[in-house]
Amino acid sequence: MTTITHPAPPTVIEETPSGAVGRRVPRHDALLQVTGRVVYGDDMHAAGMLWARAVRSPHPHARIAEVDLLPALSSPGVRAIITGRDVPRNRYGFTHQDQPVLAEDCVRHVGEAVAVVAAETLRQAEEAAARVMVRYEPLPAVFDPLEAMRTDAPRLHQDTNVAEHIRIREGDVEAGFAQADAIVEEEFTTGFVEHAHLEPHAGLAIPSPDGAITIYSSVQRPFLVAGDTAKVLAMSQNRVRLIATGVGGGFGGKNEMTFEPWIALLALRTRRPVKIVFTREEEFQATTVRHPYRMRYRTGVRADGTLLARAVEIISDCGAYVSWGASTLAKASIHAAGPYAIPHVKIDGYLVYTNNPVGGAMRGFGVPQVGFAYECHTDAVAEAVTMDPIAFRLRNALRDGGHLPTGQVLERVTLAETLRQALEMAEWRREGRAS
Amino acid sequence: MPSEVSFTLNGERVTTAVEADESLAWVLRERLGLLGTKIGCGTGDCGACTILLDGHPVCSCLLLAVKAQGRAVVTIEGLGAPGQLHPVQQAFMEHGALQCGFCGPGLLVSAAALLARDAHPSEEAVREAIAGNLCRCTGYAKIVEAILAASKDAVGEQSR
Amino acid sequence: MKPPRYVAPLTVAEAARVLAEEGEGAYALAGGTDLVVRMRNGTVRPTVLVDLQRIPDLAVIARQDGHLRIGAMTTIAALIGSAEVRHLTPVAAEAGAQMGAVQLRNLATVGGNLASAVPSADLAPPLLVLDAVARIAGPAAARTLPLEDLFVGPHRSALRQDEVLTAVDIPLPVAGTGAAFLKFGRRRAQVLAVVNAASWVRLQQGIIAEVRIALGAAAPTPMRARAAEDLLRGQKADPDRLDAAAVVAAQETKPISDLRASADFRRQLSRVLVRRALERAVQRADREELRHAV
Repeated sequence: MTTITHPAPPTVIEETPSGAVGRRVPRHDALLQVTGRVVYGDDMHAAGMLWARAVRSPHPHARIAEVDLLPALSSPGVRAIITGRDVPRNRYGFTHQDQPVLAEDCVRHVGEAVAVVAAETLRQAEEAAARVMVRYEPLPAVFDPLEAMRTDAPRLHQDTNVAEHIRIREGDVEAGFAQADAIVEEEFTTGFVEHAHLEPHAGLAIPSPDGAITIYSSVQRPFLVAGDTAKVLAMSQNRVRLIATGVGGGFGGKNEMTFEPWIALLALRTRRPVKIVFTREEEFQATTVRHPYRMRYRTGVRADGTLLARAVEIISDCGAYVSWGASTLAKASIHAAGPYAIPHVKIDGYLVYTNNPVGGAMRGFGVPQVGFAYECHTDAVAEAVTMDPIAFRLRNALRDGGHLPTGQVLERVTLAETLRQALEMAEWRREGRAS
Repeated sequence: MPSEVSFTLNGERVTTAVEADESLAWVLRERLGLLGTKIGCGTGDCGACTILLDGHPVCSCLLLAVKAQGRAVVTIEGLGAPGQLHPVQQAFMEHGALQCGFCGPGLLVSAAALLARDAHPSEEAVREAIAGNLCRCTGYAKIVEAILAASKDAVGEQSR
Repeated sequence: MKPPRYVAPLTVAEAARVLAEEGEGAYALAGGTDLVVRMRNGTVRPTVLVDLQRIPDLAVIARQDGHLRIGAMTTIAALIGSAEVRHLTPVAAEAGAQMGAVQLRNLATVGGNLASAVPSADLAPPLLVLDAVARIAGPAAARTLPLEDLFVGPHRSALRQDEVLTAVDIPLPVAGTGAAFLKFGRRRAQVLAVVNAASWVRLQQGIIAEVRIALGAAAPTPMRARAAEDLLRGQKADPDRLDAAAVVAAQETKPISDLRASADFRRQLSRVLVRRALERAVQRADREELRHAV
């Protein structure tokens, strides 16, 4: 086998009287990176390990009438198969505990996991997973949040498909609109975005003879994932040890528990380590996405460019389970009016269940969507009063002592100064308009 | 029915049993213990699995291991000389070219191959050479910068 | 998927024999950049892989009987790098350079791209306008086929189960000709063409004596735009006439709407790409000096 001699690691940067700040410092793991020695999820191996593969729903919404494991259990190399019934507490979630570890009574999105197979080889796990017989009774499905809000829409969970309604009020928007010289109304939509971190979800569970479990996983939040795993497995937290491997990109896509309880259960049952790696297809189909938003903006402005009132309605396509949907929508709603001083504000955010992929955390956490909307909208409002878009922003920008519609008072606000510096750097020129 | 395949791997001859539909990427990682080559997609779209086949960059997830018979394979583990980094590896470290690092091995292999065939590439040539290596973290600016910097140091530096 | 058997025969005859004996489950393996992907996503489940890698002379590029013969196992990288191709049939290299990325071009082959019969095959339009002929070998006598007849439908070629594409023959260039290829994709690399197009012209004192126009990803198979060619033949090569021909070419397309583009956009693109391909082909024909004796 090839002998590889690695060069020495870079010298530690010594503290100087002026400190290390402002110095170029190589990452502590730079050498590992460039020699291919960072350990990511798929790089974890253990002697005797089994490979796991999930069985996933082809239907967006269906009752699970029957699961027949026999054809798969007799498939070569299979050592164990788990379903929702094997999960001690098959329900979790951050703000809403609406999500099962493995679907039990019904599936609510294409790709939702129904069972997980562990076999001696990956090939055998794939073959066996294809042999698990699930009898589905398809249910009417809904893919448009507006349709999902109707009383006659298929219901995903109880009562209503509106999982959350965020309300933010300041002043009296109708009064504000009444005083306005111009009112601009626009609608903006954003689509699904998949994180597409280059490294797929991957990990390895190693059982301890005393019934404890160690899980290596490529996750952004090891303590949250450890805690949730312990909760759903009804184990005390000190018996679920989660070690985060190198993470080959996350961007919010590895912000929650996914396969960890599956491989833990399989490992404990088989008394063998169990490895899992998601395929790229599973990443696109079955992992979280950025929520699509439909945003309606209505703004009242005076002829001199002073913002008076803004009403915003956000409809967030939650997907099948809330996951990070409510926290994301809360953040988006808080930011929805933009970094501008507006005396009258009305913001309504609706989180709506659909049979679409589950919306989760993704860099920006709801703000990219509303940011896109309110900045495009600000240009339109500036145009409505024939004002230079930069001058308009400088006029209305929040400043020290200003506050968000939630009442939060802001300190050290550098928006106006930043904008001016950016302008200089971009050498903005506009003929005939005051800056 | 597994068959045996023999090839040169980072300068040394290896022989291993493979199934006909196993990719070289899989075999390198799971049979030969070389985990530096990464699998990001399995369909030749991301380039994380890039290795050199007879000096040419290829996606090892698409190269069936049986086709490596009698060929020379170089992986990230084979860049540079023993105890010495390849100039692109050094440059990546110095320029902070990587963030999560997962694209690194494939990118470094592509970059090394570029400099072996074009010692002083233009920026356009660098971008062309790495067009098959996706990076989701960095936006490529420092990667390109590092490769151009390395080209000034290494003239025709060969991997072993 | 159960692992297939793997054979690497040393002759085309042997390859054809295995393909015939094994029947439907046997697949010829070139670079694998298309086949391996289809194996991974379960579209095909080969029982035998017949690797063509070991057969000598399948990757040779050489002049033969007034043609440039490009072996089917020529990688795209070798195609682009070939001095013969760059001098004699540069439009083929122009197309090859826009395929995939470095890693794919080092594995993918000319034969694989054509035999896959994907409507968007980038080598199809340039080779169609060069009037290429496909050379096919099987258990019986070898046969040839105008390249256009190789493409039967999306992912369906005229190759029989026991046949192998061994080469394409391209007529050597004559004086006063020029050709061009354009590809439009949603990125500059690693992308299936939304539409691709090629054009070849022979000019005689500013008149288009002969013209060929081909489009890909605009119909179930790569296609020639013959009505457009008829319109242009014998005409002066001025911008309005070139555009008029491009309009007709677009009308001849039968595009679909898919995740890459709508049919309507493909029709519009077809017109633009054909016009530009014609303009460049004409420019090149104007400049062309025959560098090698035919």
